[in-house]
Amino acid sequence: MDFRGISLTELLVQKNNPQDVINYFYNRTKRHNDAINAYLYVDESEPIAKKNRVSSLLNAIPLALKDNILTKHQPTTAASQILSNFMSPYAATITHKLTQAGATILGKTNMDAWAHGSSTETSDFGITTNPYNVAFVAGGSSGGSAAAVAAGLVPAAIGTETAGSIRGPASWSGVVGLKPTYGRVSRYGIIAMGSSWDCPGPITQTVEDAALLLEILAGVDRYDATSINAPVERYKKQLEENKKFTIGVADEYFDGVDKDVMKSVDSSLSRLTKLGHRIKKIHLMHPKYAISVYMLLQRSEVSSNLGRYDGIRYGKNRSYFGQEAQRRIMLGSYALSTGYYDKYYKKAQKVRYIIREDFEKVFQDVDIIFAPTMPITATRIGDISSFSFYGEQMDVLAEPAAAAGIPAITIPAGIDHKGLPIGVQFMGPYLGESLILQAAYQLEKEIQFDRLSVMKKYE
Amino acid sequence: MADSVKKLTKEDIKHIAQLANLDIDNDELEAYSKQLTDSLHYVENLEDIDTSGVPDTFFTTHAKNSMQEDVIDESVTLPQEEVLQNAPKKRNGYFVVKRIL
Repeated sequence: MDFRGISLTELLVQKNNPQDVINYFYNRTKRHNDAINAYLYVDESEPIAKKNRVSSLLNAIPLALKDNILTKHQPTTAASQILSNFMSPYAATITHKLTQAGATILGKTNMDAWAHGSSTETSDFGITTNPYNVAFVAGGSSGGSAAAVAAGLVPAAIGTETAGSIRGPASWSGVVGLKPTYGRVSRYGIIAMGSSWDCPGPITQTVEDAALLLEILAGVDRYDATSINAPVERYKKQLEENKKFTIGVADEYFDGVDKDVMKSVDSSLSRLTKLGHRIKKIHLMHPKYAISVYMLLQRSEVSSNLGRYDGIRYGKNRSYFGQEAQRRIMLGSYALSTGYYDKYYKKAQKVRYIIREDFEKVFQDVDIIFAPTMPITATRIGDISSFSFYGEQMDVLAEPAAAAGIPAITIPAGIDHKGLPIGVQFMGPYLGESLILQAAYQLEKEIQFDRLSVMKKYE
Repeated sequence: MADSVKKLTKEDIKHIAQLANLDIDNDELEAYSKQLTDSLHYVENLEDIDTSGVPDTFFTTHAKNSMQEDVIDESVTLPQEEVLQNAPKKRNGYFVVKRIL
């Protein structure tokens, strides 16, 4: 049996013997995880268990979860030493939804410790390498989920994004990554980082798979007061509507973007025009302001959220925090402290409001916005230190949508001269997941990105 | 503009670390002092933006208030031993903490 490069949707259509599918991905994972370190934990019991609800929606197909998503019978570490022995007494709402839908949770994937980073280099348990070239990073913070999908170690995975942590690694690893509207997917049982930003979402081989998983993940949750009480749409069915959109393009998002990435952007725009969409020049606030907003608000929320790690109820004590967590906690504590609150936290909150207004104004003229996902392709392992504000620079084009809480999706659009994948993204209005999924679906068909070649390296 | 930003000295870092209950090695203070000061310089660009017309309250969603009945959902309550399963020190069904008085 060979399920290499078969998407989640295709696997469901094929109605394979679930045990064959599980065995295939379990065996691939055991053989190749050492090469890319995508998983922190692989379940040794689940793959042969008979308890899967094989008749249900997902037909026992294996999925991988980022290791900041609580699972009841599997460890959750957030890639930090502090939680190296932690077993959650309860599961996240999305874990529950996926298992109820019949998914097999094959394992938990590597990430930057506490999801603080954009390269999975700050994990306390080793770097996840890029399946295309192991001298490069997979991106982060959901690097393990993206690399596992790209290398074909699992048909699809779940990541989380605060500002770029789904779209970044998906882009650098050549897979699809969807960051939903803030509140569309419950945060209950996700290890909190920036609570007013955090969004779980799918990382998949195809746009169709992202739509399918979003339908399962989305919905209001009484245990997350910030979850949105709006009906969950038939995202997958809507893909076939073949709608034509007015697509906004802003020069502010091309500032400092690499030449190879721009080539993919330009060819994508030609394809979108050919498909009958209208491209319209727009102006958006420069993304550099979103960096500052993110830097202050995320750090502030981190300093509060990581306050609970005191080594009393669970986990090790605070001396086990890595440098990145220490830096963020300190900057956040400072930004929230007496005398600086107005200058930093409150000012950043107000600029965040303006970023959202800026998008809302533009969405009166266009349906969706198109842009590169990352300004460059994956960086070499260790290069992080040669950039000041590495994460912010890498995620600059992802941060404004995250600040505004609007949905965005990245799809692979090409390969650069180093042989590394390039991603392009669509951003949509509040709860406009269906629009960006449809546009991405149409563009994906035109691009016909080769996702098989990289998987052939892992046989 | 940048001159208006305070430099975070090693003493400041020590103070902030103490507030956040972090143990910082002395030989790391210099690097943190520089890195955090750099961050404060970067975020000065927010001063470019006029926020005088922006309300004080903001949240990411458009939701107003989220209310629900105050009832216990037995399906999610946990037995005491599971709540305590990760505690390094426990006694008689309690977490053990250091004496603070």
